[in-house]
Amino acid sequence: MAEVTQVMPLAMETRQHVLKQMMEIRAAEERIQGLFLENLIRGTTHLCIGQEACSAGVAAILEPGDTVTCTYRGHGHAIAMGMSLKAMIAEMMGKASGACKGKGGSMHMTDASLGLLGANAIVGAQLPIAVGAALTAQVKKTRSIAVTFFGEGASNIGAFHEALNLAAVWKLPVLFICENNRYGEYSPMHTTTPVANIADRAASYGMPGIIVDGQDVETVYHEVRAAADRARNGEGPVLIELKTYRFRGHSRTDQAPYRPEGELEEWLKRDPIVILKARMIADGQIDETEYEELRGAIERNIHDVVEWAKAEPFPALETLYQDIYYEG
Amino acid sequence: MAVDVVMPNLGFDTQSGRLIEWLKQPGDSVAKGESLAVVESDKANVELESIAAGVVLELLFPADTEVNVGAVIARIGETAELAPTSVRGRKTPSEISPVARRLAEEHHIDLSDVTGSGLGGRIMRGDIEARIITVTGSPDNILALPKVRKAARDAGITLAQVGATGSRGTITMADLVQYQSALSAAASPDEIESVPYQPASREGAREIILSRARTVIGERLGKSKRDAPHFYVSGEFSVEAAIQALPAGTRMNDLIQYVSIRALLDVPELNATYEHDRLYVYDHVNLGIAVALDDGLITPVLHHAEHYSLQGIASEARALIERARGKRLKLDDLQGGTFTISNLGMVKQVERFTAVINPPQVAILAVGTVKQRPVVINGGLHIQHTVYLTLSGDHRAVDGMHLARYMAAFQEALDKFHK
Amino acid sequence: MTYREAATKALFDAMRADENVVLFGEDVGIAGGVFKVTPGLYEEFGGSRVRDTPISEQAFIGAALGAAITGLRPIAELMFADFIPVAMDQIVNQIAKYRYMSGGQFVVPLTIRAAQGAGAGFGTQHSQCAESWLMNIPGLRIVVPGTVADMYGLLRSAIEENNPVIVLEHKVLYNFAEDVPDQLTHVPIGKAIVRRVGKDVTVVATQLVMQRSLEAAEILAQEGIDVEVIDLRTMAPLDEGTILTSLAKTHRLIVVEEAPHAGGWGGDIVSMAADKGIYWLDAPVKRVNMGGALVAYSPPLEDEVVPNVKRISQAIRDLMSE
Repeated sequence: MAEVTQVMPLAMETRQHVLKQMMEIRAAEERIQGLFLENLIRGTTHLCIGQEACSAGVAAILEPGDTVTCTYRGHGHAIAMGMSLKAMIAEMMGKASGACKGKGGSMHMTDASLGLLGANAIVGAQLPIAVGAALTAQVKKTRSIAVTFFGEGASNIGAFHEALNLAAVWKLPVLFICENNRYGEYSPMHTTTPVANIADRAASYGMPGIIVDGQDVETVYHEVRAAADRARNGEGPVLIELKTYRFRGHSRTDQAPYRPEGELEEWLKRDPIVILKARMIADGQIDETEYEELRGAIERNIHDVVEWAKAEPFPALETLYQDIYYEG
Repeated sequence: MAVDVVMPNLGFDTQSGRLIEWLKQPGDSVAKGESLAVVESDKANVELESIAAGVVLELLFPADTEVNVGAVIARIGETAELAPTSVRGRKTPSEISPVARRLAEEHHIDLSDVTGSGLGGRIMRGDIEARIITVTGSPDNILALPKVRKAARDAGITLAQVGATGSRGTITMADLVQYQSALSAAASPDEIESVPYQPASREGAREIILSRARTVIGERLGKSKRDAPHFYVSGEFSVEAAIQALPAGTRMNDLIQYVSIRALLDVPELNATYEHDRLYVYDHVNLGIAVALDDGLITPVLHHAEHYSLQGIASEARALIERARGKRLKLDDLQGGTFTISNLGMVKQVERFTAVINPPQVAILAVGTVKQRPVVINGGLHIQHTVYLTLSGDHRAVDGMHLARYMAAFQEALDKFHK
Repeated sequence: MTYREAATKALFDAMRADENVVLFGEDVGIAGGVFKVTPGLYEEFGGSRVRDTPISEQAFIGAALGAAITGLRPIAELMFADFIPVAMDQIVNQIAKYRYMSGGQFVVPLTIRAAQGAGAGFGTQHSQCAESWLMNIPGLRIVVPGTVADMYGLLRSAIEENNPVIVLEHKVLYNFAEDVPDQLTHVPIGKAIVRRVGKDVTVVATQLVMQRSLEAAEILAQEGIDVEVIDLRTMAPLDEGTILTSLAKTHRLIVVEEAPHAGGWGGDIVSMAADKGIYWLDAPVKRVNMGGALVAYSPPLEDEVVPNVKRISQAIRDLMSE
C-alpha cells in the first residue's frame, strides 16, 4: 500500500505524545502476552498489536468530559486515555489495587475519572451505552461527545443497528468508530458481512460514513477530530471506519491459522509506530538513539510495573460481596 | 416347528458367501417368498427369500459376515418359539415409536405388557420411561414433620419404635410425647424388652391387652424395685391450723406439695438422682406429680418448683395435671424430675401407703388421706385433721437419717407456713 | 385514585423534584403511553427530557445505562415486560453488573418500568410476569406494587434509588381504584407488609393474586379460617423477616404466584421456610401458581391459568385439613 503523503503533520508535541503512547501500548501488549504464558493473567485477553494508531489517534482528540466505551480488545484505549499502567496490569492480574479492584479483569478496563466508561465483553453492547452518554451531553447541553470503539464483527449485531439508528434520529453527539481489522474472531470479514466497507452502512442510518487508514495516526487524528467537532456542534453522529490489522491472533490462544499466506507480512510493513517514526526522523524531530532510549525507558517501566503488580495482594474475600449495590 | 434357513449357493463353486444385511429381525413375521436378507454372490447382491411363513425366531450371524454355503443362518417358526434373548413382544414401527423401542431395549423392558398411549395404542417414549425404575434403595416409610424428628433426635428416641396416629400415618408430636411418657426420665430404649404376647388360656379369665405405656411402666418400676433397696419412714402431721390458713384458690394438696418442696430444700440429699453408680444432687426442685390416667400412671414434672409460691404451685400443678389428662404434655413436661409426690388421699380409706421410687430419683413421698384423728398434745386429747406421709428412700444413695431429717423438715416448714 | 393515576403522579412528582430525571420509551411522550400512564409529561417537561424512542429496546435500555453513569437519572419504559428478553443483554450483562465489574466506580441510578401480568386477553407474549427471570441476577432491585399507594410510593423510591430498579406494574391493576391518603409517601424498597392479620395460615403473594388472596381470606373468614396475607412488594431484596415472623405464628404457609411453577420465585419462599422456618411448620408448604402452563388467549382459559379466588381459597382449605 502506498504511503499517504498528503496528511497534514501534527505539531511536534502531539507527535511525541502519540508516538510514546503507541510505543507504550505495543510494549505493554507484548508483555501481557508473556504474562499469559506465565499464567499470571487468567481467562482470555485480546491484544491490539498493530492497531495502536486507532487508540492513540482518537484519544488525542478527546477533551475532559468526553466519554469512551470500547471492546474487550481495550488495553490500547485504556493506555491511550491515560489509565495508569499499574492500575491496568494489577487489574489483569486480579489484584486489589487494580483499576476495578480485581472485579473486572482484562475485558472490563474502566476508569470513570478519565471518561473511560468501560471495555465490554459482549460484542456490540458498548454502542447503546455510548449513545446514552451522548444523550446526557445533549440533555445537559454540554459540548461533550461520546466515542465508542467496536470491531467490524460488531457491525452485524442488533445493538449496532439500533444504536446507530437511535443516535441518528435524536442527533446525538456520538462517534461510532469501527476498527476494521478484517477478522471477526476467526472469520474473515467477507464471510460474515455482505458489504465491502462498514462505512457503507452509515447511509442506512442517515449519518456520514468515512473510511480512514487506521495505521496512520496523523490521518486518524485529523479525521476523527473533524467528526468530533461536527458532533460537538450538534450536527449528529458519524460512523468512522478505521482500516487496520491485528498482528496477533484474536485472543491469547489463537495462532490465527485462518490468515491467508502473506497477508500478515504485507500488513507488518504498515506498522503504525514505524510510519510515524519515519516521518519524525525525516522532520528531524527524533533520531534513532533517542528512539531507542525511549523504547528502553518504556520497557523498563513496564518491567517495573509488572514486578510491582506481581507483589501486590489479592482482594480480601469479603470484597466478593461489595459494590454489587450502591449502599448510600 | 422351526424351519432352518441356510446360506444358499449363489454361484458355481463358491464355498461361501457374504451375508450383507438382514431385512427382518427376530420377532418379525415373514411370509413365504418375502425377502429375509441381502447376500452377496460372486456377481451381485441378491435378496434371499424366505422358504417358510412364520415368525423369525433367531438370526445366527450378524450382518456383513462371510458365511459358508449351507450353514444355517436363521430360524423361522411360530411366535411361541421365540428365543428368550430377543426382546419379547417386539412390535412393528406402527406399534412402537423408534425412541421407545430403543429405550425398551436399553432398559430390558418387556413390551408385551406395556400399554401404548399413542394413536392406536402405539407405544410412546413416555410409556417406556414410566416403566424405568430409577429410584434405588427402599424408603423407610416413617413419616413425621421436621420438628417431631428433631424432638425425637434430641431425646434419643428412634422414630421407628413410636406408634403413629396422625393422618397419612404420620408420627405426631403427641405420639412422641406419649411414647416418651412411657419411658420418662433416663430409661434407655434398649432396656425396654418387648413383652411377648400370651394368648388367654385361663377359663373365666378375660385378657386385657396392656397398653404400651402400661408395659413400659411395668418394666421400669419392676426394675426400680429390684435394683433400689427401698426402705421407708412415715410420720403423721397435723394440718388443722393449715386448713384454716389456706388462701383462696388453694387446697390441702397444694399445701402439702408446697411444704414438701420447702422441706426438700433442707435435705438436698433427697433431691437427687442415682445413675450408673453416680449420685447427682440438684440445686433446684423438679417436682414429679403422679397422675393416674386410664392406661397407667404418668408423672409430669413441674420444673423449678422451688420458685413458686403456694398459689403458684396451685395453678401450675393444676395446669400440669390437666395437660396430662388431656394428653397435651410436651416432652419437657416428662423429663428431668428430681423428686416425686404421689397422693392417694382423695380416697378417704387410704390411711397411708408406700410408693415405688421413680428411677433414677432416690426418694418418693406418698401422701395418705387428710381426716380427723385423735391427737395427743401435752397430755390432752384433741381432734385434729392429720395426714400420714410415707417417704421411700433408695438405700444405695440415702440413709435413715436423711429420711428422718426430711420428716423433721416437713414439720418445720409446715409450722413456718402458719406464721 | 387508580393505580394508573398513582404511577402518573409519581412520574410528575419525580420529574418536578429533580431535573436530571428523564423518561423515554415507545410512545411515552406525544401519545401518553399505550397504557396511558404518561400523558402530560411531554407537554410539561419538553422533548429533551421526555422522548419517544424507535422500537429499539437494546438501544434505549443500553442508553439508559450510559445516561445513568454520566449524570442523568433515567426512567426507561418497556411497553410490556415480555420485551425484557429483547433487551436482556443490556439488563443482565450490563446494567446489573456495571457497578460491580468496575470495582464500584459507577453509581447506576436508573429505573426500568414495564407492564406485566395476565387477565387482559393479550395472549402469551404480552402477559408474562418477569420477576422470576430477573431475580437470579444480583445487582438489580425489583419492585412489584400491588396497591395504589404502593404504586406511587415504590415508583418514587425506585427513581430515587441509586441502583438499577425494575418496576413491574400489573396491567390489570391499572384501573384498580382505592382510597389513598392526601399525602402519598415513598414506600421503602425491600419491605414486605402484612395486608391482613390472621392466625391460621400465612399467604405470601403479590399484585393481582395478592388482591385475590385478600378476597379469598374474606370468604374463608366465614368458614372459620383466619388467613394472614403478606404482600411482598419487593422481589429483590426479599423481606425474610416478615415472612418468618408470620410463619412462627401460623405454622402454615402458602405462596401464591402469577407465574409458571418451575424456577418461579415461590421456590425462594419455600426454601426460606424449609431452612429458617422448618421447625415452625405444622404442614407441607404449598404453592399456587400456573403450573406448567402458558397464558392462553381464550378468556376462560386465561381466567383459569392465573390463580383465581376459587383456586386460592381451595388451596387454603386443603392446607388447613393437612
